[in-house]
Amino acid sequence: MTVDKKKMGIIAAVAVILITLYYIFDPSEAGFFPPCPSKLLTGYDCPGCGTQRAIHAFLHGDLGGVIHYNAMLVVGVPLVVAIFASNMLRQKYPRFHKFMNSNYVIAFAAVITVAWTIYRNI
Amino acid sequence: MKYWVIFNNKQEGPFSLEELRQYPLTLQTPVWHQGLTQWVTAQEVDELRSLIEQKSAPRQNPYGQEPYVSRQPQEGAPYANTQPQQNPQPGNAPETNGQPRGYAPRVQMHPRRANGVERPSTYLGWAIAATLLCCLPLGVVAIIYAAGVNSKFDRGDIEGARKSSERAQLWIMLSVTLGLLWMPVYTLIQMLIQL
Repeated sequence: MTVDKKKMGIIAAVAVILITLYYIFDPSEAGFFPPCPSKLLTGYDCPGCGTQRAIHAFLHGDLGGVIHYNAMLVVGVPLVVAIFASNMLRQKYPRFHKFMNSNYVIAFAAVITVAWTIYRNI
Repeated sequence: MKYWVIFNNKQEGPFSLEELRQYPLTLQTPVWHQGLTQWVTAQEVDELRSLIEQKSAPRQNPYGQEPYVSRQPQEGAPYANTQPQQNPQPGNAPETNGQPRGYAPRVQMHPRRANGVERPSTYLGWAIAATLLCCLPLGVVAIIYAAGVNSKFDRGDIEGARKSSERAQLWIMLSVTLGLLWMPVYTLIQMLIQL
């Protein structure tokens, strides 16, 4: 329990720092946000490319910007939140947990990731 | 053939014969499969009886012998052509997992475990998060391994599922670590180029 609390504290602190950074600086202009290594190496956009700019846009209330920079976040973030919620509520809602970790959801995640990667590069 | 069983007053299933091998199945465990009009005990299903006898034969299995268990027919037992959906009324369910009288007390099962065997974590949430946040598409590999956890576990391959789970975790950590290392490495490269 104490370890968990410590962990949560660290995660929260890192999150606050990152949110502040991404709020103040625009990754498409500021130089110190690293570009995606896969993009740099291959020239192709990976499924996570644009997330930094999308976070900046989101923090400024620009939802259109989120879709513009990385549209998969619109599906991916709620999905991740739902999965983590189901993991935390496993005791209480075992069926929800089982579903969120089932191969249907996994296949869905794999398909949208691959499809998104192909789509954004053609 | 798929089987449903009642453990701890909770209906679970469907299981294949292979998967049931992993469970502390007893002769008195209530079982249902398609074609039956009501719940029966495992000893009345030939395949399961031989499975249990096979299991308890080589070593002294504490579950081999069971105390008397009332065997009243289930009310609201599933019909032959439908799969049981709802948990049976706790009051009606035969007491299968009460403390066996006169035997060593059975280990209290952790509620997160399905009768002693816990499905290994798929790490799916982390895998997707890593794919979207860590600037490296390595998380996709973790998503594939997540699927392996379920497929193997459902097949009864507990060890394999555990391995897939570990692989998924490994790829996520790899993705996160490389993603985090990338920032200082990139800055360093930039500085070297400037020189």
